[in-house]
Amino acid sequence: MMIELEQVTKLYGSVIGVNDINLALKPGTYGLLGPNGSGKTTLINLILGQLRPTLGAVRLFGKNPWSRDSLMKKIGLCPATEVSYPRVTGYQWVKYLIRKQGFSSRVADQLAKKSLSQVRLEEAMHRPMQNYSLGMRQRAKLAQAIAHEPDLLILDEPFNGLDPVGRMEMIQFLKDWAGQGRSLILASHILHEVEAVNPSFLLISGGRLLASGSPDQVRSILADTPNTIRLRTSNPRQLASQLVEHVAVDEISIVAAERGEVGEVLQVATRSAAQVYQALPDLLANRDVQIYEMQSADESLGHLFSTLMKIHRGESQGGPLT
Amino acid sequence: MRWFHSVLATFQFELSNFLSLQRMAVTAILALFPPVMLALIFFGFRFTSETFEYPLIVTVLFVSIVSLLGMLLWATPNIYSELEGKSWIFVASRPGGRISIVLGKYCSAVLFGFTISLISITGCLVVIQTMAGSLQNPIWVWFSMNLLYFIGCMSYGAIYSLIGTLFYRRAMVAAAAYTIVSGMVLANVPAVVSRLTLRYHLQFIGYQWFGEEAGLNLSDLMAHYALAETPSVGWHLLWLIIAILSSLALAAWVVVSCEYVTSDET
Repeated sequence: MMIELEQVTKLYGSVIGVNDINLALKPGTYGLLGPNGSGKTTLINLILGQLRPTLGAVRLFGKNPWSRDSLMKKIGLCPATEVSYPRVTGYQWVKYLIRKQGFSSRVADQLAKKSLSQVRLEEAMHRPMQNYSLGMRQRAKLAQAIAHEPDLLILDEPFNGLDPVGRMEMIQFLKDWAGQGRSLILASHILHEVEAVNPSFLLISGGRLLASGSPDQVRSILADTPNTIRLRTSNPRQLASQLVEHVAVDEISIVAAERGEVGEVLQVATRSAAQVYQALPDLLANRDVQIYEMQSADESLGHLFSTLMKIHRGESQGGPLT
Repeated sequence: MRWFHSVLATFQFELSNFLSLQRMAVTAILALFPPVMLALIFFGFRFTSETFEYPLIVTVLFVSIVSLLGMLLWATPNIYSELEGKSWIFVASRPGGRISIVLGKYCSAVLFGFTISLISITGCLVVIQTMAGSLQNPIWVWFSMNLLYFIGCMSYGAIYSLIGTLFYRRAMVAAAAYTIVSGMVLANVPAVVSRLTLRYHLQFIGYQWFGEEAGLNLSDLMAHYALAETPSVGWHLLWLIIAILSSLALAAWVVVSCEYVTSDET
């Protein structure tokens, strides 16, 4: 097994970080999915041996990561945190971290340049990181994680701050990484970005591992889970009646827009979000309805996790996930 | 070899950070404070009929203050600066990363602290020789003082590094409290407890190396501590080396045993 967690609980005083997690992961690609504050970072830090479990045992490549930090040679970590060295260039920073893997200055120099080129930062590598955009800093973080060619790459919210092109490139990079047979754990709160890499899913919320399974299994549970789509529109009532007539809608409501925003907000809870997206252009055609803003259901996993939490508590029927 | 590269990487990285205008300015202000103050005191005495009798003692006082301040600034926040800069997880998740941070930052802090001492001592001795010309053997005084402050920077740096790993959230406060209690209270107590302080050993070495030039009498110091025999410089050095090594070993043990939780853990 690559990673094993046995009844792992982590407490920060009286606050629960992760709660009674059992997990056994073979080498492969995994998407650790959960809302903000769900325990993803704590789980990653437990796997890396940065935190010691209050209860239970963690094993990474068969060894206790807390007492064997030599295991870190096999790991590449791209954390969610933003570094703030004001004067340091991307090259200096990446080279410094590679040297901390135990490489000589000469080898670290080569590896730093190679990895920075891989993430398309070769032209900006000698600029101070304080002048980098959020996306460039994200790529520099990725460069330091992959430079020593680890067996397992762990990324915590890697899509933060990336523009659409950057996100697409990141997804392609991660697909290529996984395609080379290397292991990957990708932690995020955004489903469709994780889904694009086609991993096995680990769904975590409230510090608990609620479910794990393949993409198909997650899709099937999503199919039974109402997703809420938020539409800010000029004529919510007309749009609501059209939607109710043409699409399977579980619940629909109209709420006031925030101060300074035009129109009103139509909230549509549906089990078939894709159907709503497909129907919208036809419903809007030749009608005096304008949509100013649409928030995708995939942006919020609230319903999925609340459903899973109910299943977990025994308040609802279990889904197909294990 | 892997450890060596890792410690050296931290040392060089800290060194490159040190070469910023802001840090260089702080260093210059600290380093030039003692010679400037000494020169002002000499000028002040020109308007009185008295002679400035103990310029070397004043030098020791001022240089001790600025070098301790330098060590406090650079050795103490070894962990906290990484946590505050959110860079901790990047370095801690490397093989031997935690220990290399402590040792690398310790080495760089000793270098910075000693640089301040070196500039200060040189400046002060130039001022003394220019204004009074009272030193019999200025080269020996310069060399022995620098050696003493190098040992002092290594000793206090090791203790501050340990404090930085133990009390990382309030490291500066804890280190300042340690300096005051240890250096100003315990070191003056004429009992065995004073021998556990760094100042006790450093001042004995100083008395024996350049006390005479400073107008200080070793027998007065021995009388204060009720000592019949003067321990050799080698004994004091051995004690300081043990203190340095044990402090660094303890700091290394603490840093690998402690969970340094950041606000991002959820």
